[in-house]
Amino acid sequence: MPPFLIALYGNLLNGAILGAVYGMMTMGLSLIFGVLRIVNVGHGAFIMVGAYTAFFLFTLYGIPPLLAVPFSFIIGMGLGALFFYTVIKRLIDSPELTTLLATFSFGVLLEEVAKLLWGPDYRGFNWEVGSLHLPFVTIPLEKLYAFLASVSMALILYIWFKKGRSGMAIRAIMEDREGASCCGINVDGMYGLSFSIGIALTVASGSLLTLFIPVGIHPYMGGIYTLKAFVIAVLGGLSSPWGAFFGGFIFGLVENGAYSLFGLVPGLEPFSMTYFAAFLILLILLLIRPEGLLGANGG
Amino acid sequence: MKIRDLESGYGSVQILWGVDMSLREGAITALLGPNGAGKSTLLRSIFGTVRPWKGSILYRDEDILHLPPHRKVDRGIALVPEGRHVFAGMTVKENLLLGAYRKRARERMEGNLGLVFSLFPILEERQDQRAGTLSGGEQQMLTIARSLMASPELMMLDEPSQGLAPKVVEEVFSALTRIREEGVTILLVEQNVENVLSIADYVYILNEGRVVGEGRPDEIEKAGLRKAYLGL
Ligand SMILES: Nc1ncnc2c1ncn2[C@@H]1O[C@H](COP(=O)(O)OP(=O)(O)O)[C@@H](O)[C@H]1O
Ligand SMILES: [Mg+2]
Repeated sequence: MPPFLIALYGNLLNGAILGAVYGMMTMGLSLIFGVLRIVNVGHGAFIMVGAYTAFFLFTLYGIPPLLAVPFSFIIGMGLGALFFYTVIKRLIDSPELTTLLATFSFGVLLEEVAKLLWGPDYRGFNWEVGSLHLPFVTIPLEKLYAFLASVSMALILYIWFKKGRSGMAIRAIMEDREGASCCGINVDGMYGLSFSIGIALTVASGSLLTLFIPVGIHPYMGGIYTLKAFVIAVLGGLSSPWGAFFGGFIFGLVENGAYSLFGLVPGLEPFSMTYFAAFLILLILLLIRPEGLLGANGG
Repeated sequence: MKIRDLESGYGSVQILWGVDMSLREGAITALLGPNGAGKSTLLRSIFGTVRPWKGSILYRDEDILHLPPHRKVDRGIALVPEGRHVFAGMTVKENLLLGAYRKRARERMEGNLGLVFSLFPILEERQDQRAGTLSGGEQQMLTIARSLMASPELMMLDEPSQGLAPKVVEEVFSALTRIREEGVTILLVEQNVENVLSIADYVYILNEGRVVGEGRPDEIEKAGLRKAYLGL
């Protein structure tokens, strides 16, 4: 095989792996938007919390990042509930600008608290568990685990959403809030639950992301993930968590595939060009299919 | 149910200015009044989807004024809201199961499902169809059926005949009389005066957020209230 194809193949495989984590990273954003019609502009700050959680659990207690996921999830539930019941609950029917400002502020607050507690330094850690050798490409096992964890979380969410009692109640609210209320569904309570689960998924995804960024943990790391999650959410049709998951896959593939392609052009810095490619795709998509790849229907 | 001096509204806009009303158990009480009188607001305030400002709602020796909607459902109070609020993307069956969402209703699901299908056989035929594909009349039947799944003792309906063909209206109204025979108390908001006066046991007339008349249907006719407030 020509070296370019080998590189492309390796990058696409890695793209699919990272893409699953991207997908999980965006499911929470889509869930919150789909149920509460609130755009969480502070999304990346919650990812940052998850990354620090994994970092400290590993460096202080030797707990591997995969086991940090349930911790992060619980921390996320707590943070989500706190944020919901102190702020969001009062703002549910407010104009969009109000909730945008609220989530933006909460994100900034989290970042500043993180800086105050842990300083502005870049941190990272290595959890090495070996590699999987495939023809032409070697995949670090920890990344494969992150992939499997993301897919499992997505599956669990899916089953809960489709079969669980509260999952069904949340779908009912997404379809018709007044109808749901007339069925005796505690709409405010379900809003709180969806918001908390959305935040919990986001924090948990931050723990998994640490496996892809060896030295990238710092208080302001979230910004770029907020942007990527927005692109992915639009790819997936905004209010559908499953759409978001597949949007993540596609984003991971494109980002890494573009990396290979741009590497062919002499004088281009491929890494910075991948952002360009990502947002170019978003623009094209918004022009030709504004309802998202899978359509806007809750899925 | 005894409603005393109920005031309510949206934001700072007051809509209800001290409503008094009593519902007799097992009867159909109709609430009539011109468009914008506050009928829907009154039902929403009783149910709790709009928060009432003051007054009292006595139900089985308890003041339920400030209970949230799901607690009302737990006490056997149901609202069939104005418009058709079905879950369009779900099947008819799923819609009905959601109607039995509370524990109290889940325990009686089998019996209620039987009742609902005997009232509206078309829903049994269509149970695996998406609710969004039903006709307007069928969606209205589904909304009523869904709230019956909650095992209500008091059922409030907001203009169930709105936008339906006369034949379907008849079907819906005959279902209401059968629901009354099951012992369910009914509070019925309607614009459709002719039909209502024929099935109601008692009538209230609401105008500009106040009760301006009440009585048995024949008394309403005699007092000329119908002409005065309903323009008929
Ligand atoms: N969600 C709402 N927000 C603000 N005002 C409302 C709302 N719903 C109804 N109103 C106002 O309340 C008044 C009574 O409306 P409504 O209760 O719907 O009357 P009816 O059901 O008797 O036609 C109207 O003036 C209407 O404009
Ligand atoms: Mg009305």
